Amino acid sequence: MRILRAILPLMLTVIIVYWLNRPIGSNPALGKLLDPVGGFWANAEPAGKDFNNLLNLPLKGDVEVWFDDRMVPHIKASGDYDLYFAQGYIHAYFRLWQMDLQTRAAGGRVSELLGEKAVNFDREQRRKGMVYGAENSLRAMERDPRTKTALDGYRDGINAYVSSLEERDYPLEYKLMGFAPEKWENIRTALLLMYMADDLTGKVQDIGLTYYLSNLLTPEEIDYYFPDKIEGSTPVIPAGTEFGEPTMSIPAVPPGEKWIKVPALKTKAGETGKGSNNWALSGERTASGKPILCNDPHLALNLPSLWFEMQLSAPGVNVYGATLPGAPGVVIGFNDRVSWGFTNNYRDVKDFYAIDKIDKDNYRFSGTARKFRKRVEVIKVKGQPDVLDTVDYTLHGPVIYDDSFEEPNGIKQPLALRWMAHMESNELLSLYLLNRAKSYNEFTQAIQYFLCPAQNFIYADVEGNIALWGQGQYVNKWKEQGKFVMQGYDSTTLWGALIPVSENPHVLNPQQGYLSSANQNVCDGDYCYWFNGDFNELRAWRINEVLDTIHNASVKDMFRLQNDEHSILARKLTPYLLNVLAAKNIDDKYMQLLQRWNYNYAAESEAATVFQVWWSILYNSLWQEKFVSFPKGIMYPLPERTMQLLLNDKSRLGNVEAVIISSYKKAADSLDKLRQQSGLEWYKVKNTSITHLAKLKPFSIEGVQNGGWGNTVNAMKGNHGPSWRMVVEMNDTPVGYGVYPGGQSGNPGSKYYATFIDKWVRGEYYKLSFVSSGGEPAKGAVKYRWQIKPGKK
Amino acid sequence: MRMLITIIITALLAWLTTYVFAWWMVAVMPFLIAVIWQLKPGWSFLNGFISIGLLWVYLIVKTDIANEQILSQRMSQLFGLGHTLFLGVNIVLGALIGGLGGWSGASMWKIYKREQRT
Repeated sequence: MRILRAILPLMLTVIIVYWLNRPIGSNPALGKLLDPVGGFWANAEPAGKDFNNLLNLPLKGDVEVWFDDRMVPHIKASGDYDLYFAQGYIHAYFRLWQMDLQTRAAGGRVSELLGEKAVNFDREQRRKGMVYGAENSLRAMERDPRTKTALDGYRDGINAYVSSLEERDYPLEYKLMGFAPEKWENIRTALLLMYMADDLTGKVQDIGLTYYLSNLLTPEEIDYYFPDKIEGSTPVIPAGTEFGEPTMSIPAVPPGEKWIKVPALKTKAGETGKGSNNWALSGERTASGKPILCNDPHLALNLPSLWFEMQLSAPGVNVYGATLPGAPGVVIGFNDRVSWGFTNNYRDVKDFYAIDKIDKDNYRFSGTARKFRKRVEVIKVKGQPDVLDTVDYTLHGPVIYDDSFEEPNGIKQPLALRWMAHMESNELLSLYLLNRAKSYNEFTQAIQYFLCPAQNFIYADVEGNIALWGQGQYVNKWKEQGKFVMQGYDSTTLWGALIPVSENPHVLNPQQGYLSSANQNVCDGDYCYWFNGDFNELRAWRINEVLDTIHNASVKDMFRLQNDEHSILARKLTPYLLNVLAAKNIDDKYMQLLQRWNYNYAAESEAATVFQVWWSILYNSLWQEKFVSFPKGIMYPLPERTMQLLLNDKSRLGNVEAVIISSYKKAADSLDKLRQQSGLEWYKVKNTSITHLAKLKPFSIEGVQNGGWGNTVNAMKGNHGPSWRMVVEMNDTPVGYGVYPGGQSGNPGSKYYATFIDKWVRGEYYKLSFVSSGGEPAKGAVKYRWQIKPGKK
Repeated sequence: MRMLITIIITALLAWLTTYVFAWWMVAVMPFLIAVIWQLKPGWSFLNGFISIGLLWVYLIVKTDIANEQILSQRMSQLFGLGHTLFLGVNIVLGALIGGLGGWSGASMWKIYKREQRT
């Protein structure tokens, strides 16, 4: 008994220490985390940290890096391998956890970290062929010696950094989530590019439209409510642009049942409407007489930010811009001679085929039985045995949904996916060559390798050229091919010939002196191939309206346009809506706000809140009213189409005025409540937040005070918006301005973590510290230096 | 004087070994010191508590000032505690582990002595 009492303290200590040393549920091991030597305190970076560094790394030559006061690294190397080695090392130094997590997620490996609850997510990633597509692209990337060198250098750089880490040096999120970095492999870069392709081309309307066609609408009505080309579109490639003689003709629409029937949908269709803007002015329209290029890609707003600013120079390359941690090279930026940017090109490159399954090994195609190719996906699950998922591959592509993994809307037939992102392609080579392009000709050479996700590439150079390409790999489709879910047994539904990329719609130095794209339709009726897509027009209308009248433009005018909050939707609809209310003698404080409104979604605007709340209720009830059996909230006609119908053609909308009045009354009730709760200022209601990737609230920035909305140029939504704003004036030495909602460091314990957000919110820009080839950094620009010498570490 | 030296030596050893091995050296070092120097149970607890407490106060305050509280503010929100309370809890946790380690050491030493006597 006495011995027991004596052992008691030891037992108690051991139990407590043991308990503090283990994660409990999803909570981290507290003892480890709170340890001031190796826990989170090790990530509390001194605000005055001296980042100067001397390093020995296995390089081929010397590498010099200097950082400016925003911690933007400028790398100077003597060859490609060293350049990308240093880029990989620096990406990992600042952003390791994010690169690791995003590429694990892309490849369906989240269950390793979070356990059983992520298995369905991982299965879907695998089943839609994320890893399959990445393997295909990796083959293409490793076949080309240029991208092979870039990938290998980049990988070795990351791994040199990773292997230098003790556990206490791991980024904080590893400690919180209880996992460790692992060696980078080239497939991770391919997965990151696949993740972008999925983000930008992954959500299509095929299933929703098939449901409409099966249950509610005639083909004529589909065209009416969901037109392939909306009336009045100002396309990416300006109307009237001459397209060269096509090398192919559009195939005839095959006879017979081409689509499947889809039963009632159970769930909401996926949210669409990711947007971006880009434009370029020719010298005729600028004050300096030199072109100006602008780009602001809209993506999910996260911390650490998706982007990381850098300058990369080595023989043959000197480029500045936004890089993607996880991939070598600059994605959006400029060099001594040219600048370029992207918006997403929403031509549909992802189609579904219903599979006529005979048994577990065979399916029917064109009257004969074909064997599935089986691909076994092994999903590791934290604290559980591995999950094995056998995915059937058909000649169309992987069967994403079948009875082992049901289609969320309740379609019972197995569905296979035909997706351009699965094709072997080397987008990295495109970026590699773009970074080095010196002329329009080299630009077009470079972008021909960019196949998926298709992008509208804007271009400007110091010679004074501006250009725009709707670039990607497309299929020569018969009319409406792939718009609905196709019968997979029918050989006439197969994708046909690929359209040569040189025939993609494009324009160089148009008469109008400017070019722009904002995810709208790509080109007008003169273009010879058929396509459909998920296009939006409102932002494009506004940009073109402003650019059409712009002269003597300065970069400040461009800043203003990127931050423009004017809504064409509101401007066109509000007078009509107010008239309807006035006719009924309704007049109250909310109407008065709208009467005085300038249709800008400004941060402090109360009228913007009134309009948006009203419009949202009106829009939803209008379509609910019209199609009683539509599942609530699912894929309604576009706001711009709805606007056109309200203003010009109410014939099929039912009793519109009654809906307008009842929705106004509902809106007024909601607005009364909002006014009491928080106030009616638009930014409070919208609550734009930049969310930490692991959704940790204290590491996120919430409720930023900004205006804008999805239908305005400054497309600031709740968790989505301009992820990198760039304006480049193409002087003899290009002068760039930019800002992104984040900071160079991914460490929430660093003062460089969220540094740029305030400026981004206010619509301000940093002058980018680009140094031309052979030039020296401006006096006082260099804050820190790294000298890296070759040698064993 | 001897008390002060014991405290300093415990703290220094705990600091060094934490770097080399793991955070729970803050229990092991007070334990070993209590065994080797045959500290009394009460005093051994205090020695662990004070030495580790002081060590953690020093490390945490130094880091926090240099970091301008950027991270500790965010972490305290993550824990749902006020900033000062969070730091207090963090430090007391270390001190308690140190104290428990010391007390265990003294008890083990007492058993050993009793075993020898019988």
